[in-house]
Amino acid sequence: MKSPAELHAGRKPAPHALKFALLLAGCMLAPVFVVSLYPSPPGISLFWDWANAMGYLVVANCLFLFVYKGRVRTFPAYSGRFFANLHRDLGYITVVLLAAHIGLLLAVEPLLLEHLKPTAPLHMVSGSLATILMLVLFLSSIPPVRRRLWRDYHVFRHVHAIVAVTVLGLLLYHILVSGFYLNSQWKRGLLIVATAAVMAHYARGKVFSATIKAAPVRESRKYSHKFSYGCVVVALLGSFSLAFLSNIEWRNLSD
Amino acid sequence: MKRPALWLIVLAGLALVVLLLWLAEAYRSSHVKEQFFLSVSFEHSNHTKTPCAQCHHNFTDQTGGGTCYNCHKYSPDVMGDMEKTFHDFCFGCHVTKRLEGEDSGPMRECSGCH
Repeated sequence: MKSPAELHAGRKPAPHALKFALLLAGCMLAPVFVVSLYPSPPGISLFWDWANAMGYLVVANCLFLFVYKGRVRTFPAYSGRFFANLHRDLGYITVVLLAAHIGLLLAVEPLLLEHLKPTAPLHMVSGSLATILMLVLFLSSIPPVRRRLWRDYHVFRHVHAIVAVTVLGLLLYHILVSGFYLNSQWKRGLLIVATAAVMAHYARGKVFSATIKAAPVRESRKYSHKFSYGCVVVALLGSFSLAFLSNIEWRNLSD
Repeated sequence: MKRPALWLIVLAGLALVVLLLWLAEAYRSSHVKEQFFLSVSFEHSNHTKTPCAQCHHNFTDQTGGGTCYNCHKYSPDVMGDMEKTFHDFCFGCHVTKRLEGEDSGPMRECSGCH
C-alpha cells in the first residue's frame, strides 16, 4: 500500500493554502489590531504591552478552536487528519501563549503576584480560573491521559466542550472588566458580537456527527504544523510591532 | 450514548462560568478583611493641579469623614471593591492626562505607586 506522500507525489500544492494561512494569521492578529485603534490605549512599556497582546492572541486562538474543532470542514478542502492536527496544534500554541502572557508580565512586574491570590479583584481571579481550566483541557487531551480518564471518547468530548465554553466565558470576563485595552464601547461590543457569532456557529454545527461533508483533496497531515506554527510566528511579530508602535513617544519625535 | 445538542453544551458552559464567578466572589468577599494591601506612595506635591474634592469627595458629597481608609477599607458596603476603586480612580486620571499629551503618573505598572 502506498503512503500518502507517495500517493500525492508530484501534485500541485494544495488549494486554499494561501487563503487559509491569511485567514488564520489575520484572525489571530485581529483582536490585537482592533484594541490599538482609536481611542488607542497609551503604551505602558514594550514588554508589558506585548505580554498583554499575547493574552489577546490566546482569546483569538480560543475562538478559532471553536470554529476548527477537529472535524472536517469544506474550507480548506483537506483531509480529516489535517483538522484534527490543526485543533491539537492550536490548542498547544494557546497554552504556550498563555504561559508567555503570565510569565512575561510577572518578569516585567513581580508585584503582579498579588493578583494571582484568591483575594485579587474578581476579573483577575477569573483569569486565574481560566488558566487552571485551560491546563485541565490541555492535560486531559493528551491521548494516554485521555484514555485513562475516559473510556468512552464521547464522554471526553462532552466534558472537553463544556470546560472549553467555561474557559472562553472566564477569559471574556477577564479582559472586558480589566478594560484597559478594551477602552471603548465599540471595542467591547465588537468582541462580544464576534464571540456570540462564533458560539452561534458552534451551537448550530453537529460536532458529534460522523458525517463528512467535504471530500478530502489530499493527505495533509504535516500542513497543520506549518499553518499553525507559521501563523503564530507572524502573529507574535505583528503584536510585537503594534506594542512597539504604541510605546513610541510621538510628541518627542515631532519636537 | 445519546448525543446532546450543542446549544445545551454552550448553556452548561455558561452556567459553569456564572457558578465559578459566584463562588470566587463569595470566597473573596469573606476573606477581604484579612487581605494584605501593598502600601502606596502618594505625593500631594505632585497633584497640586488637581482639585482637592476630586479625591476627597466626602468633603462635598457628605458620604463620610476621616481618611480614605475609614470607608474604603472598613465599610462593608465598599471594602470589597477597594482595590478596583482606587486603581480605576488613579489610572483613569493618569490615562486621560497621557492621552491629552500631558505628563502623568503611572498607568498600570504596580511599582510606580507601590
